[in-house]
Amino acid sequence: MKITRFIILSLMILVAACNPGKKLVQEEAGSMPPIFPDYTDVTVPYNIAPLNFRINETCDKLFVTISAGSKKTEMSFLGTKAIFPIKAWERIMKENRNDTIGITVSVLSGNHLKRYMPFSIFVSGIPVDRYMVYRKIMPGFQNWNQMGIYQRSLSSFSVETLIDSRVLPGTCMNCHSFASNDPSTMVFHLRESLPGTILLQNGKVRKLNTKTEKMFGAAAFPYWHPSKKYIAFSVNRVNQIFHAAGNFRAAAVDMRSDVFVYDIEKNIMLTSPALSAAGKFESFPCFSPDGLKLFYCSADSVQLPQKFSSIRYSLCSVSFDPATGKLGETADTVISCHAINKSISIPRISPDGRFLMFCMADYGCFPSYNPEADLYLLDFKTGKYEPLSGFNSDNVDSYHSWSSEGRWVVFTSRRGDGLYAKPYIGFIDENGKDCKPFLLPQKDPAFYDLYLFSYNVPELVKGPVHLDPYEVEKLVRKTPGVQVESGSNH
Amino acid sequence: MAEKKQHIIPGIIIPALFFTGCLLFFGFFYNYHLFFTEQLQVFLLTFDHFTGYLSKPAFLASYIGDFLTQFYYLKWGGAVIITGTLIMLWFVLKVTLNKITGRRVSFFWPLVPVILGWIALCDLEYPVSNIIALIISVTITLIYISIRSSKARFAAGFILTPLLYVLAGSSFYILAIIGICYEISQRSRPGMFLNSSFLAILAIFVPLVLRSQYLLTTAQSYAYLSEMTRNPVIWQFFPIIGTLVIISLMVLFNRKKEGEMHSIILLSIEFLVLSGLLVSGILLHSDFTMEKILRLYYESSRGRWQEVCKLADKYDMHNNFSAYFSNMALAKLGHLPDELMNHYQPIATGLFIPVNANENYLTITLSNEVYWQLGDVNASQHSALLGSIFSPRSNNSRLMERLIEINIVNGQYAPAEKYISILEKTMFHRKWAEGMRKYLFNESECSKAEWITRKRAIIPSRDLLKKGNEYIETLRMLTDNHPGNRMAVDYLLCYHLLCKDIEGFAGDFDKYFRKESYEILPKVYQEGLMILFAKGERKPENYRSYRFLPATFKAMKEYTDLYAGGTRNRMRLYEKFGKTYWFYYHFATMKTE
Repeated sequence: MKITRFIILSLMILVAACNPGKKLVQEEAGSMPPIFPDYTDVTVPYNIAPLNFRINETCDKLFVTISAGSKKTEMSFLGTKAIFPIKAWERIMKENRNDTIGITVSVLSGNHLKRYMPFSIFVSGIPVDRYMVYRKIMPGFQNWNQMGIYQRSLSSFSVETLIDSRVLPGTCMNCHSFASNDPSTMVFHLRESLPGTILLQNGKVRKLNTKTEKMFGAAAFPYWHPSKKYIAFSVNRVNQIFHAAGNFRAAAVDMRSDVFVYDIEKNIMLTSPALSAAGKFESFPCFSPDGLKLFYCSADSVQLPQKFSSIRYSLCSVSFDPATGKLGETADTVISCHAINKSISIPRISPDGRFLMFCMADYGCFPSYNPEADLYLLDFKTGKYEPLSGFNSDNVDSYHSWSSEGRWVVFTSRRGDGLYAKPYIGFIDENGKDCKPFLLPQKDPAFYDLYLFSYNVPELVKGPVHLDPYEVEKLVRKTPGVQVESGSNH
Repeated sequence: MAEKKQHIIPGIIIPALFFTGCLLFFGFFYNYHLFFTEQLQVFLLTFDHFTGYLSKPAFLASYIGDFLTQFYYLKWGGAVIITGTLIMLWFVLKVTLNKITGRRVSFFWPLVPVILGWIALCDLEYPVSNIIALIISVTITLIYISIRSSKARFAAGFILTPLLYVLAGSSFYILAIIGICYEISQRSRPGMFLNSSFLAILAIFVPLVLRSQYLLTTAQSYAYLSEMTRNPVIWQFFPIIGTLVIISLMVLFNRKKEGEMHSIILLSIEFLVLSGLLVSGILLHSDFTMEKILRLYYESSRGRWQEVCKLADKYDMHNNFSAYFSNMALAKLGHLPDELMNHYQPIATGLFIPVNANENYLTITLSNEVYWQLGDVNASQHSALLGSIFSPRSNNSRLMERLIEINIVNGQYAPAEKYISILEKTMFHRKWAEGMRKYLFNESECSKAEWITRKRAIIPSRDLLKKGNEYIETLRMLTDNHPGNRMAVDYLLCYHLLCKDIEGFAGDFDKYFRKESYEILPKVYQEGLMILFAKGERKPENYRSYRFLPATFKAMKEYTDLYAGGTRNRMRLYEKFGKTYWFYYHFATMKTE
């Protein structure tokens, strides 16, 4: 009896599914497919994970045809999500290095088949660094509950935890930085309940207490010297203020800041009058790839927070002698904020030394709070700088990081929902021309719809970081750490 | 037959009495705790949400528990879920004890852990998933002790112990410890030493080995109950300890004798012991003040201001939360300056709840409401985001609803859409979220919604940079932007008065008070101004255009006479003028924490 019932039911389902009474109606949409993430006309590295997407309309089935030269690969997916098999994707990408692939999307709803116009993706033969290290934090102003630093494989979807608030409850972890995209050379800070600066060098982890008697606080924003012997840090006293009206939720105010250079071998902090001048704020240091210059952002101090919206930072540099650690005493102004009436932050130089990417906003030095913040590229060859119009959006675009071969850049953008920062990867050619960036792909293309965290400070690294969270926990709980000393100012 | 009945009747009736009591307790006396508990999560009916539970121990218990917690949204839903879960616990405990003893055990023993569970469930940070974990653990323990072969038990222990940690967290000790006791009780059989040692080793090493999978500290791995129970304290383990003690005793000191349980005296003693345990546990552990506060929060979030006032009067609580909701309700009804002194005022913390990292998630959660009502939607957003972040699961369905409202009012439709999409994947908030979707990117629809237009009419248009918790600047900014924002004016003036800043009151009264908004000058303003007249800091003739009540002048004179009489008149002063601003001004003490 039960078997008969099962057979009848199965037949009914089969008949309904086949829908023989209705003829398939085909239609050309005449437009690009409404997909998320928007992967239309982007440039991607051949070693990127599958660009899974969903279509923003209801349908029963999704058909995707990937055309490469004379070869076509057809795939179909139940529902609205195209989730590509990773092996097939890798094969297509490897076969089409330095070539364009065409993607045609068709959707089936009932007996109605709609075919969208094909879009193309350029597959670059230059690979992106294999991993992206980032901090995950809820966009909740200065306060946090859960946070951590993680690494994501860019060729797959695997995510590993480097350090997390589950292991160090009540501890803020931030400002991770790598020397020339090298995963074995890393620095990051812990603050609040278990403070300290963690230095990872060739598998060895050390805890530093970076505040010396000449510093008003512990080290903050870091940047490695290419020799891996020095780390430049800014020291910042940051307060948060809030906007009463408009779409600006909050702002971070740097009440005081200086720049120091840490000599790892000698365990001393070095500075120069140019980097800790009275009446000036200095922040966001960045060494040039030849290691002979230190770039940073500098502003004249104003009454804060009252005149916060008038504080603007210039891009400056001082000389640096890697042999002695001597810093120049006079600053060169590379781009003056007075000339442009804008504020510059987060300078980052391409590995070949030709370009300097920075963030520009109307005021302040923490662009993640300024919706108008955009990315710009300074070409040292021509001395000109231009906005990266291909990268920028109508919301915050900031926190950029170059890949080791200097053609790929990861940055965060609050485009879309305006609140949660997401990582975008973009290509810049040898002449500084930027291509349309793409959102970091996820296994489930609806991932970002439900994700309530921001990606913060994405950094590209050449391989996986080997850091044991428990080793860090033990280190910060049980050891006092190495006290950094003040160096002479030469 | 009669003997059997004698055994069954108390075995059913007494537990039934307790479970009915449990249903009534959570349904009538503790239901606002349960409504609030439901808000502390956003349970999505998605596969990813399910797999997210795998990243922590006790995944099955947590998933089932959180799934069931959704039903707390319904009136009586929480009471039914809790009672049903406790019945289930009682049942598996009874079956297990029957199995161990080989006889029908008294209702008493399985009811002890159940009552401990009931008491524990009175706390917001003890979720029903902890009871589910207990049920799973006892069930698996029952399976273990049902295995006759010692070798098979060895294999079962090897598989079930780590599995139970994954499914039920720290409740897995029940299997390990009872398993050991069981093996010891089987001393005549071979394998006792091997099996019990093996279980002990597993109990010690399973959390240690699995902790790196879950990224927990050593202490957390041994004491993991659930995500909600973030910093477990000893009493939160009482249901597990109670279960362990009772089953272990039964295993080790099993008596095969029957019959003595039936005596009326013993039954009465058992009943009294259980009742005593329950009553003392509830008295010690439940928080009826919090229940009242959560009721005020519940009514406020639905805009039932009359009800809030009525309840606040009835409860007459002397805490800042009660004052906070009561003041808000009075202001919404336009009665704040007339009735400010009619109830307890903890200086200005009865007007605003501070929002900062030092506060707990509960206070931050409640704090956004007043900003929303005043029209400072950005401050409300700040507080709602922080409330979500600091919630035990870093999520809060009620605050997500508030964030949707805020973003729609601000015309920030993209984040509103994100939150709506999330709530649309829940069971009970879906309908509400779907209803909000029509406002997205649709100004014409927004203009038809009174709640949006009313709010948009009072939100500030001129920006001001301020630090958190700068109340006077906030209120001045709101009134500067919209002089007709009567609630903001009343809050500003009352804030000064409650802080005894009579100069500040006078300055802002002259600047912001609009007499056309009031028929007569509100009572507390009359009293405040009279202090200034008495001090000679303001001239009464400058305020002739305001309608003072002659009775206030008369009362002021009488108050002054009594006050001049010194301490001997204090009691009369309190009796007659205890609810005037003058009395507050002279006698309220400002405590600095």
